[in-house]
Amino acid sequence: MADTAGRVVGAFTASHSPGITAWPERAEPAKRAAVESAFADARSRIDALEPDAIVAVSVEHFTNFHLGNLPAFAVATSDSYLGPVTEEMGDFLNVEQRRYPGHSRLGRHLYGFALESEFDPALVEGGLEFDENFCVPFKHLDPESKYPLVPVIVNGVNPPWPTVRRCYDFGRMIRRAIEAQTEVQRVVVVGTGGLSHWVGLPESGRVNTEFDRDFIDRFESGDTDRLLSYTAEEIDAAGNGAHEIRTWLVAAGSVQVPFDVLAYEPVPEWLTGTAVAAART
Amino acid sequence: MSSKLPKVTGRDMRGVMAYPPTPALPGADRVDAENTIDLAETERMIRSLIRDGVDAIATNGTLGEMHTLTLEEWKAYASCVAETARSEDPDFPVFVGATTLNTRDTVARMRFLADIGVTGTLLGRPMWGDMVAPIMERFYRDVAEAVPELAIVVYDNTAAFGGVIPRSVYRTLVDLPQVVAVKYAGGASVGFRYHNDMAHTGTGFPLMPIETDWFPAWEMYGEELVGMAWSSTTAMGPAPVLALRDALREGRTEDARWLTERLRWAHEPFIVGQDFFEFAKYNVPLEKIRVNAAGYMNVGKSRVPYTEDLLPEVHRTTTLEHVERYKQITAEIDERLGSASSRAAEKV
Repeated sequence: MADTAGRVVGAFTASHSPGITAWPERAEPAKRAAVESAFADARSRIDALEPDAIVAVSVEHFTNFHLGNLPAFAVATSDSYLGPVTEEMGDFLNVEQRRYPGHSRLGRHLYGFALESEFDPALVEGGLEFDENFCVPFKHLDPESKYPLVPVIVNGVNPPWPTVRRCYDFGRMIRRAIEAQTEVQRVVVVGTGGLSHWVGLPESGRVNTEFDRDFIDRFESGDTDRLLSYTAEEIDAAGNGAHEIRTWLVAAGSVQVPFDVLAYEPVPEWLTGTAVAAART
Repeated sequence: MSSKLPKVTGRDMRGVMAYPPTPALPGADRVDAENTIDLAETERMIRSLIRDGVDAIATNGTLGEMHTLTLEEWKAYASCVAETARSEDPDFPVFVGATTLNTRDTVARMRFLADIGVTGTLLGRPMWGDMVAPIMERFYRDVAEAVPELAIVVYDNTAAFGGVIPRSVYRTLVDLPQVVAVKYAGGASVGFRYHNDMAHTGTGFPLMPIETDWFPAWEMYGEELVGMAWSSTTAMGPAPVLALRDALREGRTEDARWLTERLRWAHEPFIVGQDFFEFAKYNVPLEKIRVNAAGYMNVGKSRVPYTEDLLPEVHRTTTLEHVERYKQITAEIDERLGSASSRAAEKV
């Protein structure tokens, strides 16, 4: 076992709407090509980084948690995760159902480190199941499920949400946690959700390109103050689904460098402002 | 399994399913009250809803006080509802609640309902023991097989039953011809769950959204998948909700969008949309307050132990604000689109 500290060697972010895998053909061909090319680029970069594990940060669409117990943050520590949760959802998402490998020891370390760092995430020791949150982006980013995952759930779906600064700080904590252990040397962080979209509301199908482009500008700038100045109300203007950008902020906190957005396409057919980005590590 | 099957299938379920409260006589909120059902108002209520154009009626969920009625009251109410509906239209779909704490009591109640000729039951699940997915699947399969001639509208309510129906259970439900619809649990989580749950049910039967979520669901999935919505708001006078139904059916998208916006605006002050679990503490009294204040029917007081006296005053105030908004939009809709009856007359 190496005795040097582990490192976050890269961070990536991406949208995860079902249409990306379930009905990609409905998007304008050029938009689909741009998004899929960006995913392929990100996949190549991840492979080149040769990660020992991926800390995968996403929201949870009431597949495991519900309003009676809805953690702001949760860390999962299983050896494997079923996704999509049923074969029917697999058919719907056009993602083959499988067991995604988990890195349970790194998950346990992250959970314990979070508690010592004055974060209090929920602990999910077993049974976490995936929906589009992980299955859609990882169909592109790791189609063979080579890399063991440490799933981290952020509440980006139901108010009140954790503040954007808290999400960024959670990401900073993830980085410190990785650096505080030696077993897992090379870790990639992937944040997935957003950008603008409305779910189950009359505005569904709209994309707020103004919000999306401004968010991308802030995300690429490396100006943390601008990135973290969002209020919940400002995010609401881009839809209830836009609150999923908290996963991007966790990823940003884990590297604390600007990102390059590899593609951004407003795709009403996928009901989402769709983007893929990579940290300038 | 018997070859008997319900009179309706999931594909028959279209339109608006009304969820009225259970009318109560004066004094019904007392511990020593007996025979509390206001049968005269029940008859008037059922006739009014059918004549005004709702497409189905479901009674005895939570706001319908399944959990506060004695067995004798429940039987009297069910019989009155069934007889009244049948006298208006022998084929009118009626679903009467039969949720109990166990399978056998529910089966007994379902047999009673089958004997009095109702279409089906609105059925939640036993909630005392933690009902994990395999137990929930067994429950619904057992009751469906025990009374196969009775249709089932599965009642989901996150507060009453401790969570949502797991996706694996939907796989069982689509196998049961008795299951013709699910009263889908409302709230902010709906959109995020809907498409994944619908991946299991498809066109087998509708996952009925609440009327304020109906338009976006219809826009996304169409009438084949979400042809029916549930609405307790119809008990405040069904015209706005039926106007939305007609706009959706007739492809008047902008009218449907406007009606949805007005309905959502009218509901803004009502606690149910802000904090469902707070609403759930006072579900029955809040529903009865808004229905009585709207004036379409007189459903009396809620029964013990869920009585109005324990309701925080702020909730009463905001509920009455909601009622005033509902009255306002009812007038606005009538002015802009005409009444439901006049629209029907135009079509004739």
